[in-house]
Amino acid sequence: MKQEVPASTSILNDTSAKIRTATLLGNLHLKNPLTVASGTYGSGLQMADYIDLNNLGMLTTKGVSLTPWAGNTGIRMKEVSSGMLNSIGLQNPGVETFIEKDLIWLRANVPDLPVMVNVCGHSASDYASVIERLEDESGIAGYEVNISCPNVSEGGHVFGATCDGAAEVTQLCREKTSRPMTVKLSPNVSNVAEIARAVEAAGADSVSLINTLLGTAIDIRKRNFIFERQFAGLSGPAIKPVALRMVVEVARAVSVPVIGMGGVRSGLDVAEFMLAGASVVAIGTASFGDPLAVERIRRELEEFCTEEGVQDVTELIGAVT
Amino acid sequence: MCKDSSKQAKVVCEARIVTNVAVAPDTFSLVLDAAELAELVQPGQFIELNLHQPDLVLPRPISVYQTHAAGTYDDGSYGALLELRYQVMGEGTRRLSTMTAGTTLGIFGPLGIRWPVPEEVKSALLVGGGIGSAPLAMLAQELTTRGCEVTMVQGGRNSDLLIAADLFAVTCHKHTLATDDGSRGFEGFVTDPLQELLKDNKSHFDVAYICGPEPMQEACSKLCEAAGIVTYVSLERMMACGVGACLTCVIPTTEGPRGVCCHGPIFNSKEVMWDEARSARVH
Repeated sequence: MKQEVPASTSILNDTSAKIRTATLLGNLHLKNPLTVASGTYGSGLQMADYIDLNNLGMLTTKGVSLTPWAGNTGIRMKEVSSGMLNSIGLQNPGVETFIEKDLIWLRANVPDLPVMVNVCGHSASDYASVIERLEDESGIAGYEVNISCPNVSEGGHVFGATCDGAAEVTQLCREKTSRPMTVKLSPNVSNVAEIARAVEAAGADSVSLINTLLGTAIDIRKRNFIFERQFAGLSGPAIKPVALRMVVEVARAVSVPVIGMGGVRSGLDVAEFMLAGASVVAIGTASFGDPLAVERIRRELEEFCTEEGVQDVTELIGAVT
Repeated sequence: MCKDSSKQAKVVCEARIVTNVAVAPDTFSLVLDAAELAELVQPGQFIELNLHQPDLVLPRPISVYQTHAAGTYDDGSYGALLELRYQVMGEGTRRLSTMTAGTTLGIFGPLGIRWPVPEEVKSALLVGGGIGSAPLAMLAQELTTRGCEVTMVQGGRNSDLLIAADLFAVTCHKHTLATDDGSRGFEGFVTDPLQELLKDNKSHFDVAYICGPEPMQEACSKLCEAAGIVTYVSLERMMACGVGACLTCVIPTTEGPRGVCCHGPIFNSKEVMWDEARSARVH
């Protein structure tokens, strides 16, 4: 449903319409620097009853694997102060169902929206096989290779934790596609800049970060872990300062563009990530409490630019001194 | 997940609290000025409430208890109103319970599927436990209006926690109560009077609807299934998005993993894999 727009806001909108919001992610032209964090938006269609997906510069899908994955058993989520822990385990119906249901829907309903398909696998060749299968399909702007999920035993973070592992997956995927390819990095490493350099050298067109921070929670009365896998991924505003620091480190280390994310909940947060070095910024947990978060954040970013006399949002990228 | 969701229109809006008052120990009635949503919501559906607390990042999913037609209330005229009944379970509901009339909450919905009602329903059985009776209220009213004979078995820890017993007493043709401490009705769980009622299925129930703590839903649905009655339950899981995007609230069913938010919260009890679902129970 439409939100009521007060008269004052419409005047502001007229002014902000002059701001150039278009940005580049490698050779991908996006009409604004906003995307969503993989796994928080389904494949977009789940949110489409609430929001016009064209508010996004780019859509990033939930992780897609070669075969269906059932995800984790037990409790999958716990809210914590200014954040949440999740242990979903990349549940997804597999690439064939993704193509038949989600991709077809996206092609038909949001043909102009660039779609970045997040790809996951148990082995390095799994990732490459998913991309190989998707190469035959239209309506895909690029891939985000997820080597950083902390909630699965095989694949995921196993590859993202070392330079060699990260480079291996990146290179195998690179061989399968000439489409834009980003690699999603884990914050659960001692030197994220090194990993970023390794995936850049292996052919990544951009990098995205951060995935969730590894955390845990304990039931103090039962004296057991809340999650069956014991540890889970922390997201939300609680992780924003860590995410920002890592975006700065990575942006300084590589020459490819950076997609920044971690606890973004306002247009001002987006500006902060862009100043830290991000060309594109993803909104994640914030969409859960407000399905219109992306629309609001886009408006707030334009208002911020108006206030600061920023004519073109790309002026912000890496402009921290 | 939930790709073929209903074509029901959805609303995202800010809603003013009209009243938020205790109706039983730790149990509150929350009335919201949310006409557009109130006109859409069906029996058994829920909404998400954003409490606008910066440190609580997630919305609270709460089932709808009743809707009220437009009219004049304490401090002015309203369109249709939405009433929820909730129990204080954690920090979010604790803070919600301190909010006063005039406070604004973010809401969206209606979410989930409604209680399915067979076309030719003549006799229905409702079983409610604790705050779980609340999502049965609209259903009881709808069934009665359709000329269906409604039997309600309602349980609670004590007489104070027989939520909305007055409403069910008026709405249902037969209303049986049970309390854990015997302070009202049968002493014991609802399963005792339920077993009595189901002997030979003399009432010829076409369908049963159950909502309450999960162990109670499991026990009651097995009794109803054994009596040959099509049975629906309404489940609860930790939930984030409410719309089928995040896959937090997924339960194992005979049809595969299903989202409580979007395939549910209502399930045919025969599809629920109770043993496998146990480890992720909320309470």
